[in-house]
Amino acid sequence: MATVTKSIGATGRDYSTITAWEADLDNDTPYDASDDAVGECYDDSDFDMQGDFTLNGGGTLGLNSVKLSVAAGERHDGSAGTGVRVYTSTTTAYRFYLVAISEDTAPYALTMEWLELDGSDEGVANELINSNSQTAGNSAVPFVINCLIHNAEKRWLNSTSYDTRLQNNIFYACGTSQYGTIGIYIRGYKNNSGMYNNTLHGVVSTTTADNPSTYIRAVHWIYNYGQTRLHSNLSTGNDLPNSSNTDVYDFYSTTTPFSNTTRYSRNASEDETTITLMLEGTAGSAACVTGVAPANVYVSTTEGSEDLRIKDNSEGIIGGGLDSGTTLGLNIDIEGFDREEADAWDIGADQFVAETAGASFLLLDF
Amino acid sequence: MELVIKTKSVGSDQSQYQDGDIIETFTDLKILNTHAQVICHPKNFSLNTFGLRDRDTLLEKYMEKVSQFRFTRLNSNDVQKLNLITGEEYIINTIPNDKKEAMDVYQFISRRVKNPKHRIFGTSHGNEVWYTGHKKITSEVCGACWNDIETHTDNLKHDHEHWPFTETEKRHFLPLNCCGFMNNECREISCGTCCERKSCVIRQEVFEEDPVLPDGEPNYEDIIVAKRKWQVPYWDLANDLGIDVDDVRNENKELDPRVDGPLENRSKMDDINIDKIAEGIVTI
Repeated sequence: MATVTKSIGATGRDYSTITAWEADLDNDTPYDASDDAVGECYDDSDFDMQGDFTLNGGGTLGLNSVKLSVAAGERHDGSAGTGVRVYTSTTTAYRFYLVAISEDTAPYALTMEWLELDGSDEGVANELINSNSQTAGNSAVPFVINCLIHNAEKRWLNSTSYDTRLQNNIFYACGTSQYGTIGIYIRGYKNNSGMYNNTLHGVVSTTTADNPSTYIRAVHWIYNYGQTRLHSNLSTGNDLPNSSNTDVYDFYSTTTPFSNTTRYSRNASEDETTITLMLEGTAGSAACVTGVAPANVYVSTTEGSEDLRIKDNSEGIIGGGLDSGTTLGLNIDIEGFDREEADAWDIGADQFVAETAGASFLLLDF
Repeated sequence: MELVIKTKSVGSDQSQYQDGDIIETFTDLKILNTHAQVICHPKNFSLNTFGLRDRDTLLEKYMEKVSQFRFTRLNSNDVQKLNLITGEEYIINTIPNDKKEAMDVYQFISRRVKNPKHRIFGTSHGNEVWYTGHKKITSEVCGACWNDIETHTDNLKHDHEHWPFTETEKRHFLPLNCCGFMNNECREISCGTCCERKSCVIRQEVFEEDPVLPDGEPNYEDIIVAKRKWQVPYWDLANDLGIDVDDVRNENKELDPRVDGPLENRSKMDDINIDKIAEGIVTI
């Protein structure tokens, strides 16, 4: 059993596209059964998808795990355009079908990390990531970590029949042509799934009419189950354009509200009414944080220049998260910072780090 | 259009690649745009003494042509946002506007410039400029970019008309190019057709364990029926494609039978592409 790492990029790599790398995963020339296959993308150019991508290779040969990653030094820093960007340059949308080759979780049989998925505001009928095609069993769970996922016309993630584990990702801009929008529609059932330390911002509906049936759910969680885990997520900026409609939820579930902090804790949003549906009775307690003002918390909420890393005056967010330990890299934030070096964990994907003296030399003379 | 073909099967499961499947397709426009991105990558442009990218360089010209927004810092607090498509402009600062947009420009820029690949332009601090978002890449947009590239560098457009397949890809797969044919004329293939040729076949079935979503809609799982809908039976087209099938299947041999020159030199797409559903190879 070996880890076989292949480079992916447009200049002198092993493969020129992500699709070509995936197409070789069942090839017994580069791989043997039980190998761990890693594809490392390089920022030579953007990856222009123009159509769907199915990541289900490697199972026939019997690989142990498959990981789509980004090479060190090529990774984004938490904001768009700074690392490896996947997008579409035309009106042809794309979708990532993530299919784990087994139910294994150590390592996860399928991991996607450090990519920027820019939906390019295309795909009225498409989600950017789809996990509803698992073939290796009900506990086959794709693992998505440290990614930037944004500008999805319909939905960021559809995972209603099988689960996905999400941790330390930033999601923003969703629903640019939708009547009612669900940003993340997720089952939340399996014990190896869950949402930990994600930041979500800007789920919208473009319907301007005063229509009572429009709605926004940044996260729509289906199950309330013993293994459900939803911790330290930050959800803001989710709006309907007509103020008479208040059917807006930063966290939403149709299951019975409850305050089980083993399952749900330290999640934060703007308004108490948007969070209490899932966390009834705990608003204002340590179990959740409300009253978050995006302009005070984020570096930029400006369309096209979003930077959802947090600022030093992010009261309640800084130090407000749950210390979930180092298992599965939970401690590595969206910039690659190790949260274990901080006194306490922050809520959301970004761990605030105070600038050291001299770091801002560029603007001191202005 | 260029395409790359799978030349090896592992099993007969159509949900995995089969011999002859079209792995990926590339329009001529996508090829040119990717080469332009490589040439106009910020790593090819140095930083000035302020740690910023110089103004009016090829990099800035490129960014201006492919981006949707231009941001110009006006002072310590304000930024002008210009939509390069609509011409709409307004001011952004720490006070949210009616679109709830706000920015702490000091923190935004100071964080961005820490990244060695940043695209923040300026000749001094306080008047930084950057571009974000992206326009759709049309022939006009790409052509304008290549005009700048040919003006400012030694790179020529006609030297960048092939996808940069790697040595591994030329050994493990089969790269080809082809053209469309309509009204007795060879043509470039449209983006829609090109993308469709690399599509998979998916069937939606109601998920038995949880057939109904909380909102009352059916809960579907997406069954991957076939990894690819289209194939090129290269083993039957050896003469047309100018290939030796044994060479194609020899992973130790690098092979690139793509042809240069006018479209007429290429095989016609409809002569070499097969719809696996229409041929009964795949059943939905």
